[in-house]
Amino acid sequence: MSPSPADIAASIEAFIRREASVADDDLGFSRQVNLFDAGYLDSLTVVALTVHIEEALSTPISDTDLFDPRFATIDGMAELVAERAGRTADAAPGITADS
Amino acid sequence: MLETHLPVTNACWTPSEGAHSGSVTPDMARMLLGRFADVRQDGGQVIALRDPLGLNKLYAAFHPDAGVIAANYLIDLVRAGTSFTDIYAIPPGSVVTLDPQHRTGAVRRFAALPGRAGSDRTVGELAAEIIALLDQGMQHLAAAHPDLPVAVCLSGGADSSVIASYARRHFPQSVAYSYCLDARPLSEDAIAARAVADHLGLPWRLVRADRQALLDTIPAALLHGQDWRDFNVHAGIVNEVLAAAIATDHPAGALVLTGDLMNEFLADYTPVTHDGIDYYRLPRLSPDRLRIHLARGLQTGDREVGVFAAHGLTVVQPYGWAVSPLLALSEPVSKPQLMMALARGTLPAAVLQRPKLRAQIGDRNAETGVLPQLLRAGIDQQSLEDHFRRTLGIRSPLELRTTVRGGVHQPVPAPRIPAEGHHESLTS
Repeated sequence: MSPSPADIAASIEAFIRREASVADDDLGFSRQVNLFDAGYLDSLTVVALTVHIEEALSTPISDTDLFDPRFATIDGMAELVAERAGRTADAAPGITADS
Repeated sequence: MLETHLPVTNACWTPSEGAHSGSVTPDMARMLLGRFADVRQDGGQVIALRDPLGLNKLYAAFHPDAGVIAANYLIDLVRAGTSFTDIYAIPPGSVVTLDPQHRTGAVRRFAALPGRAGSDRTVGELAAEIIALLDQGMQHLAAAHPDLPVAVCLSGGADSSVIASYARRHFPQSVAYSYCLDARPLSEDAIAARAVADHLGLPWRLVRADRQALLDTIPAALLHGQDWRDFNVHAGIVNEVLAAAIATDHPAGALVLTGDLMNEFLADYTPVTHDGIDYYRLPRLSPDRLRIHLARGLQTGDREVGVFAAHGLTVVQPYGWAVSPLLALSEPVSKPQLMMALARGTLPAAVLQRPKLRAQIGDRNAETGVLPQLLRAGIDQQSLEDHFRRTLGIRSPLELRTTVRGGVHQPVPAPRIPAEGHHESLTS
């Protein structure tokens, strides 16, 4: 069964909090904040995040996905990953579709 | 309909057809080894394509008057009136059908990197394949360019030393070029490079540059290296110094062989600590993932091809021909074992077992390299980014981060109904 968007968001949030050393009392950090605008994601963290999503959530993130407007927030990422996870589950084994 | 600015020539080959430096059709693309990019008009469409690693840069923009404008260098699109945020990269290993009316591009992938490095093949099998590719490629190059001068960029490290040994065999007229900072005693790398050149019987040309000369190259390194990140800019500065020297010696052009790309394929980079600060940091990934990430990152930044091409030189990165077997090496990779196999007894073991030093550092104490020299002049990462943004008219740091994310330049927006494509793995 695919994880819910809420589960995905929780996984992504925990990862970003850890990788970007976000303080527990950082009031600017939320699942809706633009992570690039606010400086929570740098190029190294983005790379590590895409690998985390692929390994922990079994969903590959393509180069195109990096520029999906939804990829700027945790909630948006969760929606994108849930969408991709559904597509991956529907795809025939061994075939990778380009987005 | 189509305006092009493509001064960077293709440098590729196929086992059956030999060297190829002309235009590349979509049908040819999957057969070629090396670097290439091409754009052509096909009826009402514009077709663009790019080599599997993205070694040749290819950017495109939609222009209200000109239709599609395509260029190897970002600056040519900016000079044509395009905003940086409206510039798209043709993805590596792709054929893209550009639609100027809808400002979209349908992507068909003909090659893709695997998810992680490694395979069940032995080091011996893979080394034999790499050796065959290096020999074949150089034979084809030598046949295609019998009269072209050949320079080898020799840092003194194992990667460039092995390439120098192949150059000695296939291009007996090769000359080795090494960089060293001003008139100080030679760096560890430069000493090693001289020893390797002597051992191989290659003429050796030492190219010195003082701090001011390094600083003077920054605008060119940023412009033609097409990157602002310190690890690439610093390497681009060394290449700029070498390229200027080679171009002065050979104003009509030359073939330049380098040992680049091996570090990406094996991920044998490490961060450099200077004055207590870590530079050239890497994402925290397992080695088999990091190797793929570093190979994927080659699509952005032009520290070698772009820099040398701006001097009228044709750079060839032979390890790029062997991307598939190199990425198929399983972790942990024994670099000395691999390099010993590739060198085939032409180089002393001490050369092949030297600890990795970055070419832009050149010494274990990190004092003679580009990094400390720039830092002493107040040129840090932020300075480089600011300079890069001014060069390309990028109005804010956010514009830069919006357009380039995770080492990837934004691809052309896809049509509403994405075209499906067939992926052919580089390791298949």
